Amino acid sequence: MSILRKTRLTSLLNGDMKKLSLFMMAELALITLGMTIALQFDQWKDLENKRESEQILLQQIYQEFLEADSTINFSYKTYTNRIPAIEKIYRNCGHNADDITTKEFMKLSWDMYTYNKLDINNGILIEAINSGKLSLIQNDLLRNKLSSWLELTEHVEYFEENAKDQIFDYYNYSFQFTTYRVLDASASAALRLGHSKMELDISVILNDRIFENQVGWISYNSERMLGLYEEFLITPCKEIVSLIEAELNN
Amino acid sequence: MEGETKKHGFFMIAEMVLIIVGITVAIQLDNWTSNSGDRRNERALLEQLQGEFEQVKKTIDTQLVLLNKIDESYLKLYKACGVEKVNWPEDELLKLIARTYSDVRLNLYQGVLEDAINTGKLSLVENDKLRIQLYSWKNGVLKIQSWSDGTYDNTIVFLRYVFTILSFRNYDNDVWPEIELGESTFPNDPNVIFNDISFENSVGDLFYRNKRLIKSYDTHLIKPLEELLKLLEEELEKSTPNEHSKKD
Repeated sequence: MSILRKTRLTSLLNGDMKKLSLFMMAELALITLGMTIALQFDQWKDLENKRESEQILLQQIYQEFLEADSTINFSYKTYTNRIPAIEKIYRNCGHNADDITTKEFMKLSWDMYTYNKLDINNGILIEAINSGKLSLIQNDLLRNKLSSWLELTEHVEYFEENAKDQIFDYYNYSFQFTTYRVLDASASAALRLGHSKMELDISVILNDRIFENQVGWISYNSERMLGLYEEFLITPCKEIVSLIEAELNN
Repeated sequence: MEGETKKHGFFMIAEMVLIIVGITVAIQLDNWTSNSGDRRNERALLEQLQGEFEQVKKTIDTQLVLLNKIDESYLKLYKACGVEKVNWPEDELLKLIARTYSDVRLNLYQGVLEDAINTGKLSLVENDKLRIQLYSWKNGVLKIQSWSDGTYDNTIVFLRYVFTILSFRNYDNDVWPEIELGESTFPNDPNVIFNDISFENSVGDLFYRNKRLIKSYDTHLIKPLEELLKLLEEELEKSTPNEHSKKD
C-alpha cells in the first residue's frame, strides 16, 4: 500500500495525472478487496461458531428426546396393560358369563382405574424456541418437526385430560356399588382397616346400564388413546431422533 | 513550496475519499450479497409455507366433511324428537349418536410457520399484507379450537345423559367383533329416548353449536386461507420473472 501511495504522491508532485488515476483506482480496488476479505472472514468465523453451537444444541435436544421416547413408551404400556381388564369387565356386563368373583372384580376395576398424565420434559426445546436458538439448526425438516412437536404433545395431553375425567366418572359412579376398602385393607395391611361390613354384590354393578356404558366408553377411549400415541407421539419422536442422529453423524 | 503543500493537502483529502469510497463499496457489496441471500431464503420460505397451507386446506376440508356429517346426524335426531311413533332401527340410532362423539378439535401442525415466527425468519417476507396475515393466522385457528372445545364439552354432557337411557354395547359389538362382547341385556327403545325432553334439548343445543362451528370455519379459516394462498402465489410469481419470461 505504501508503495502505491509513494508512487501516487510522486505522480501528483510531477503532475502525471494519468499515472495518478491508475494508482488511485488500484488503491481503491485494494481497499475494497481487503474489506471484503475481512467481512467474509468475519462471516466465516461467525458461521463456525454457529455450527459449534448447533452441535451442542442438537446433542442436548437429542438427550431430551431420548428421555421423551422412554416416557412415551412407558405411558403407552400403561394404557396397553389396562385393556384386558376393561374388556373383561365389558364382556361380563349384563350376565357375568365368566363368573367373576368379587375379589377378581375389585382387582379388574382397580386396573381399569389406571390413568396417565403425559409428563414430557421439553425444557431445552422450549428454551431454544423462545430464545430463537432453534434457528441455529440448519436442517429445515428437523427444525419444522421440532417446531410442531409441542403442539402434538398438547393435542395428546388435551385428549388424555378428557379421558381421565371419564375414568374419574366411572370411579365415582362405582362408589355406589363397590367397597374399595377390601383392596385398601390388603394393600395397606399395617393400617389394620379390617374388612368392610358392606357386602359387595357384583351382579348389581354388572347389571347397571350406566356402568356398562361407562366401561364401553373407557374401552373406546383406550383404543383411541393408543392410536393417538402412535400417530402423534411415537412416530414423530422416532423421526426427530433419527433426524438428529443423522445430523450429529454428518 | 506553497504549491507542494497544496498538492500534499489534495493528496490527503483524495486518500481519505478513496478509503471512504473503498469501504462503502465493500459494505455495499456485502449488503448486496446478503440481500440476494435473503431473497433466496424468502422464496424458499414462501414455497414451504405454500406447501404447508395447501396441506392445511386439505385438513380443514376433511374436518368440514366430518362436521357436516355430524350436522346431518343431529338434524335427523332432532327431527325425530317428539314424534309419536318412531320406527327407527336400533343400529341407526346408535350409529347417529356415536358419530356425534367424533374428534371435532381442529389440529393443525404448522411446523414451517411456527418455526418462521419463532426464529424471526418470517420477517424475510417483504410483502407487509402477507406477513401480517401469516402472523394473525393462528388467531383464527385458536378461535375455532375454543369453539370446538366447547362443543366437545357439551357432547360429553349429552353422552353422559344418554348413558342413562340407552345402551351402546350393541354398537360396540358390531364395531369390534374381535372382543366378542355379545349383545347387551339392556333394551333400547327409540320411542323412550325421542320423547325425552332433556334429550331433545341437548340434541337441539348441539345441533346449533355444530352449525355455528361450521359457520366459524368459513369466517375464521376458509376465507383467510384462500387469501393467504392467493398472496403466496402472487409473491412466488413475482419472485420468478426470469422463469416466466423464459416460458413466454
